Formats: sequence, C-alpha cells, structure tokens
Amino acid sequence: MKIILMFLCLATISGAQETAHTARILFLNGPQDAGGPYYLFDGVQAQEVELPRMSFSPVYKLRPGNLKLWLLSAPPGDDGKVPEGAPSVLVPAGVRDFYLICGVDSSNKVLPIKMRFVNADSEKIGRGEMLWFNLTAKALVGKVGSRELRLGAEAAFLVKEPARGYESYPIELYFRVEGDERTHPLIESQWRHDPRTRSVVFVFDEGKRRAPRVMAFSDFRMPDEKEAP
Amino acid sequence: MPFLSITLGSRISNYRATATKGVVQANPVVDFFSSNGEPRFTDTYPGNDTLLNTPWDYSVVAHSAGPGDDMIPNADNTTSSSYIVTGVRKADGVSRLVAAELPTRPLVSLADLSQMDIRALNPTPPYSANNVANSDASPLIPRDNVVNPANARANTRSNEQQDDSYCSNQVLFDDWFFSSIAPEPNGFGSASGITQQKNFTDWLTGADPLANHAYRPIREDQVTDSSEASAIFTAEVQPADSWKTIASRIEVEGMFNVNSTSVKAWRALLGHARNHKIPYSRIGGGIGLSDETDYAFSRTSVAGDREAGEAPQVAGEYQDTTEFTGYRVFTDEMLDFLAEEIVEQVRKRGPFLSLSEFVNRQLSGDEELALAGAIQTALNALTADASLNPFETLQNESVASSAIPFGANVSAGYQFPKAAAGHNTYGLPGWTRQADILRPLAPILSARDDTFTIRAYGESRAANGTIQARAWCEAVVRRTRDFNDSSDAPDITTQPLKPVNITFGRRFEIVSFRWLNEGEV
Repeated sequence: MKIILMFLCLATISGAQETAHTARILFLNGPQDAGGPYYLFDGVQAQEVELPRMSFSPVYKLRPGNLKLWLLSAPPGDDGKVPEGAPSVLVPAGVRDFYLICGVDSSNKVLPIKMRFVNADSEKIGRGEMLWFNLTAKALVGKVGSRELRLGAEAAFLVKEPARGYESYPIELYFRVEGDERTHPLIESQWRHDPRTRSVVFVFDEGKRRAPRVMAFSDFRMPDEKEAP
Repeated sequence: MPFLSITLGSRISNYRATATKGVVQANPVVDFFSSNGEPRFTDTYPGNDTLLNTPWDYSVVAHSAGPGDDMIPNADNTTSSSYIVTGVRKADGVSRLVAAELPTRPLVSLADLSQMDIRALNPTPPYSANNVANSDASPLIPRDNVVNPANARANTRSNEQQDDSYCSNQVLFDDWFFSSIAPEPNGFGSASGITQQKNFTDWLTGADPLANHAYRPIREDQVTDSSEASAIFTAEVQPADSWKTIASRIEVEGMFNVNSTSVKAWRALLGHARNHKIPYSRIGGGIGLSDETDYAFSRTSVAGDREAGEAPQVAGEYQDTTEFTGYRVFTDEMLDFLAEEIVEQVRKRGPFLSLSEFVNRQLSGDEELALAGAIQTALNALTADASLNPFETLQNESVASSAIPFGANVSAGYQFPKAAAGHNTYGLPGWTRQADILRPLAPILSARDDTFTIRAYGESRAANGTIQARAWCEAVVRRTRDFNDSSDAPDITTQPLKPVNITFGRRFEIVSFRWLNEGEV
C-alpha cells in the first residue's frame, strides 16, 4: 500500500496549542495475527498499544506539543534511543485528536509496519457523519443513504448523516480508474446508521484486483475522551 | 452493526477462503458431496478429511466495527439479486454463469461429453468438473498413477478416488466416436427439424453433409437415388445394434494424425474456425448471435455470454463479467504460439500409440508431462507468456491457489501438490481448457494413418555385378474396411476367423501408382 501523507494532513497547523493529544490506532487490512507487543514512544514516554484490524484501538493519551511518534516492538532503553528506521510519524501540536493508520511495510527491517497520521479533530467530523479517506488513485462516486459521495483519488470527503435514526440505508458506489473510460460498480448493499457515532471510512487497494476495498469504522467516544474543551 | 457474514457456496466463489485450483478441485454443479462427516468406509481417502477438497464451503468474513464494509453481501437494491462465482461484491461478482449445459443438439464430438458430470454421486474427492477431454492432474492422485496405491481400495471395484479425466479419456477416446448420424434440430433444444433418416439419406446422396463435415460414406453407399439410400438406412442404421457396426460405413476426409510435428499443419488445424457467428445466451432470454468472428472457442453449444472482454449485457454490472462467463476469441499470434507449443509437446511425449495417449497427461515422474496433456500444457505455456496471455484479467481478478495451502506442517492430503497451483477461477467458461480446443477437432483426430505413400527401388545387374537398369516407383495405398479374405465380414464385432485376416488384417488398395525419374528421388 502506497504511503500518501500529504492529503491526509488536514490539520490546521497554525496556532499550536499546548493541549494533550488523543489517538486511536488501526491496522488497516492487517494480518489476522498482528503479533506484538507494540509500544508507542513519543520521545519521552512509551506506552504499550494495541493494533486491531477490524476496529479502532482504545483511546491513547499523549503529551502536548509537536511530537514525533515511533512504533516499537519493545520500549526504548534508559537512553531513549530508538532503532534507526523504526516506523515513525509527526504530529503537529495544533491537532488535538488523530488516528494512526498502520499498514504492512515488509521493506522495514526494524518493524514491518508503516504508520500514517490522520487528523480526527471533532470539528472535522460530527456525530453521525462519515469522513471518507481514499488511499487509492481511483475516484469514487455514488450514494450513501440520502447523501451523494464524490471522492477524488487520494482525497478526503465528509458525508453528512446518511440517515436519520438507527436504521439501515442503501449504499451504491462506483469507481473510475485513470486511463479507463469505463465506470465500474463497487458496492450495492445496506449499511447501518448510528446517529451517536462518527465514522471513518477507508478506501484502499488489495492485491492486483481492480476494485478497491472499502471499510468503515465507528469512532464512538464518551464526551471526556474527545469533545471536552 | 453486522460483525460477521457466513456464506455457503461454491468454493470458487468463496474467494476469501483458502483458494484451490478452480474446477479441477471444485465442481460447482456437483450432485453430492460429503465433508468430514461419517465416512462411507473406515479407510478414508487422502484429502477426505479437509474442507479444502470439498466443492462447496462456508466462507466466514469478519466485518469492520462500523456502519459497514464492502464485504457485507451485496445485492441489487431493486431486484435483490446477489452476486456469485467470482465474488460477493457488485465490484467483482457476476450475476449468472453457465457452468454446465444439457445437450441442445445431438453431440458430434467426444469432447462434448466434457459437460457430463461423470462423477455423479461419488462422495469422495477430487470433485473435478468437465473431466472428459480435459487432462489436468489432480493434487489428490500421485503424478505417476491414476489411483493412490496407498489406498486399501485402490485396485478394487469399490474404489472411489481416481483420476477421473484420465480414466474417462482412456475409456472413450480409443473406442468411441460420434457419427453425427442423428436428427438435426432446427434450433437449439428444438424437437423439430430434419429426421435421422433424412439426415442420413441426404448424406449418402451428397445432398447435405453430416454435422461432422469430414465424414464421408464408403464408396458402395454413395448412391444417387433416395430410395436406395433409404434401403441402406433400413439395413444399416435402423437396427438397434447398428452402433456397433456403423463405423465400418464411414470414411474420414482429412483425418489428422496427432503425431504430426508440422507447426504449419497444427496451425491450420487450430485456425480452421473462420467467420463463425457464435450463439450466446441473452440475459433477458433467447439466444443472440455474435458478428462473424475467427478463432472462437466456446465451452458450450450456446455460450453463456458474449465474447470475453466485451462489456456486460446489463449496464452497471461487473465490467469483467464476460471474461469469466463468455466465450474466448484467440488471435493469430496466440494460435501461432499454441501450434509451436503443441509440436514441442508432441516431440516430448510422442509417438502416441492411441488417441487417449495424446489427450491424457503422462503417468510419469516428469512433472511437466504429468501435470497435463499436450494441448493443455500448450495452453498453460500461452498463459505464462506475458505478451500473449489471454487470461491475464481473470488472473488479476482471482486468487492464486497454492501447492502447500496450509504451509509445510499441515497436510491438505495432496499427493501431487504442484497440481493444486493455479487460480480459484481456473476453468470457468472464459478460461479456455483443452476440451474447448478439442471439441471441434476430436472427430477428425487419429493416432494412426490409413493412407501411406510407398516408394520402391529395383535394379538389374549383369553377371559381373554391373548395374544394367534401375527403376523407381511410388504407390499410394489406403487401408480399406475389407479384410484380405472377404469371407470375414468387414463389420464383424469379434476377431476375424481366417488366418490371413488374423495375420494381415484389413486389405490395402492402391490409390495411385507411378514410375519415378531418377531426378525425383
């Protein structure tokens, strides 16, 4: 999976605030057994973290300020040195809440995982809304419940509440591949709406199949986990 | 929120499960199968105790913890029809596929029998499909055998696990053929049309050839009067046991010897189908006809779909639908390649002493020869050629199957693991197999010739040994149906009785004779 960081950086990096960060981790389309243990190290402290593949991890709290985070298979020693080449990601101080999206990186000899940073501040996604991230070079169009989706290649798109209550809604999506005039079907199915919960949807490639995969994840939080000032 | 989907279906379509090699291991129209249940015998067969060797399977898919994902079974929101065979998503599943065909017309080629489920109710793997005229080895059978000698029942009549392709080809291709002396319906599946008698008498009088156009009546049956032709029909076709003797009244014009090592000859044979309109099944019902096309190979008499690679019949369907469901059209370059590869295989495997030897794989320690027969091996080579591979899209849209699906430490029961390496969609109609190539060719293939050119040389020498005269001659001789001693009838179904017939068999007749000049030798 290609690493595409630029478009995911939706953060407004002006006016950095000294607010603690919160983060959730996802091993997108990761292996059945991700192994472990894993440690997230912010240069000062290391904490053991989970890398779930079908849901977001618990919420992890991190110290405020600009951070460089490393993912390690063991806590660093007393000298705080991390193995050269260990997967890492930068976090701007102004972003309060974010996701760490992990993927397989077999070229990394230290830890075969890559991380990408996704801004998840609550002003970006409201309750019941869906933030779509397209990690592919394919463009998506279609209907998500009552809403239209127009998701460019390697872009993000916010879908307002696709339904009203706790109910199923139809989803019908198509995609286009650059250089191919045809419009390809992707999904025709029923999804389930939960008005209390934000959702994050990832579109990503798998193997040589032309059609990308689509996986949506709920991010329900108690108020003090995310929305408290 | 849905967290799990369970699908029961053909193993081919359960592409999230461990993949096996398409229809070689999973017959989608199997009559009956058992999986890891009460064994019929206490001595179970290899592979019987793992779901991997069953044709159908449960597919369990975990869903992301959220409103949904693409693997939640898709269905058309209007018609509620779902997606099968190649995937469960609208993105990669087809809405229908013709996996087998009941005869729509009288059969004309032994390879037509590839549609027959010869395994019937056999509850023991391998659950292979389209066995007749195909030659892929089964991973459950040792490479150099048609049964597994380790089975207690291997050499008994109650044995249920064998190389079904090999055995059926050996039984059929050396002893049987379709004469095509049959009714000629005026449409696919139609009960009306030309009767068997009319078809036969028109053939004798030269008014209309049989469906097998290369078949000719023997000279004594070539009549101009239709009442004479009807009399021959009454005497030779109407009797209930005429199937035993009818071959003695048919000759073949242009019989092709499979031992030929002429690339040109093979190329001409493979490229015989020109300007054909291919019938295909329409989505809304009825049969459509393609435009005129060259080199089309269809699995069934009415193809399940349009040409592989064409747009689907229904707007918005999976765009690669026809790659799996349609008929395949080869290019000149592909046929050139196939002809060269077949000749290569003939050199490696020949001479073939019988037609089934040519059709079948070799029971051999040589992996290449044991994996598949000559034509299938040539097709496999074509598939491996990146610049010509006609099945590239299928491969990209499929899941590769492994020779060691569970790793080195867990057995899948495989006796010939390499035979399991391939793709989960291998052998679907768009993926041309040996039987598809053989179907139009089988009626004229032979492993022996009946016509020979003989050249002879003679000289006259003087007493001192000097050559006084020399002569060369050439005769073309043809084996006829008659025995040397005609007191044995040509259509007897037992051994001849006369000693000369036992020794020399059928009579040869001289078709032509000429003296040759020295310069012609």
